[in-house]
Amino acid sequence: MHIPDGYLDLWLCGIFYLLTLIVLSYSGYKARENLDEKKVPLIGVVAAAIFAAQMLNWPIPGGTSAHFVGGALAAILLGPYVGVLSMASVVTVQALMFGDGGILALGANIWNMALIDVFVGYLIFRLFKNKNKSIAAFLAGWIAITAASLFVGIQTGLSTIFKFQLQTTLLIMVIGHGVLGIIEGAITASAYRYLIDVRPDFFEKSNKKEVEA
Amino acid sequence: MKYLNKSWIRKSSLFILSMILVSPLFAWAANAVDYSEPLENAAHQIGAIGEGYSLFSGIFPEYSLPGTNIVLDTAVAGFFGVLVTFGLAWSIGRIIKKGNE
Repeated sequence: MHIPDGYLDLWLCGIFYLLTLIVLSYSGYKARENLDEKKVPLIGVVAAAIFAAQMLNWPIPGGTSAHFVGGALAAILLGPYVGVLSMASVVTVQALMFGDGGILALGANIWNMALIDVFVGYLIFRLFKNKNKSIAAFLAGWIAITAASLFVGIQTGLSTIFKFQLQTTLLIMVIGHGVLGIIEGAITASAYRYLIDVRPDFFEKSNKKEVEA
Repeated sequence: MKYLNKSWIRKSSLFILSMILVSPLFAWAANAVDYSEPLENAAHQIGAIGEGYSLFSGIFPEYSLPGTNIVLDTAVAGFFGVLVTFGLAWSIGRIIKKGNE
């Protein structure tokens, strides 16, 4: 899902840098209201764990692979505003240290994998959590990653440098990630289930505060 | 229970470290199937793009170090990546928390 440089027109890169900076700044502002002291190291632990999990690329015959992205889990665990900052750290380090995702495309990549994945994941989780929390976590992981891929499809489809039409890029990205997203949902639900059993206090405070925000 | 006590930090660190330690296996397997990002595969398949370009390919391009082998490369790159990601996210948290005081 990491867009390399050379896939997006410069004007699109600029727009998504701007949009991303605006939403990240707003998230930083909102996170100030919600962040409590003891949660600060947890932001680092979640980011580090997601970085490591993203290194586990499961090879799929045919020359492709899938890995956990983790935005929905970060949202459920840290709340949306803090979750966004944690995921943005992961995507930034991947681009700057490892060239995973382009520098010009960094705004778009943070938009897709940090902002969309986290905010959509959080909304879906909140929407369904009163019915069944594990299913809510599964749907959050699945739908959020599909939504993120929808944006990749839109960005590459609108780009003239990427010589294919919008409906084609949308189909390729959304169908592909819609199927692989089932794994994302399953991992999100399993991780959530484990963490809420061993550390329910992680969730009580963060979610209460975010709801109040 | 203390929020992040020693036992929890140890468990989290071990969990993250175990993912880093097995990551070379995944890198080797991905290499074996001639992996590239799904988006890049799609682009090549539909002939959507001639040549991509790269302004900057990172300090450790493709999670590798020059002159070493793929197993060691991936583990070392992953280890540094985890440390830097933890440091960056934690620093952002601290800065935000300080701004609130």
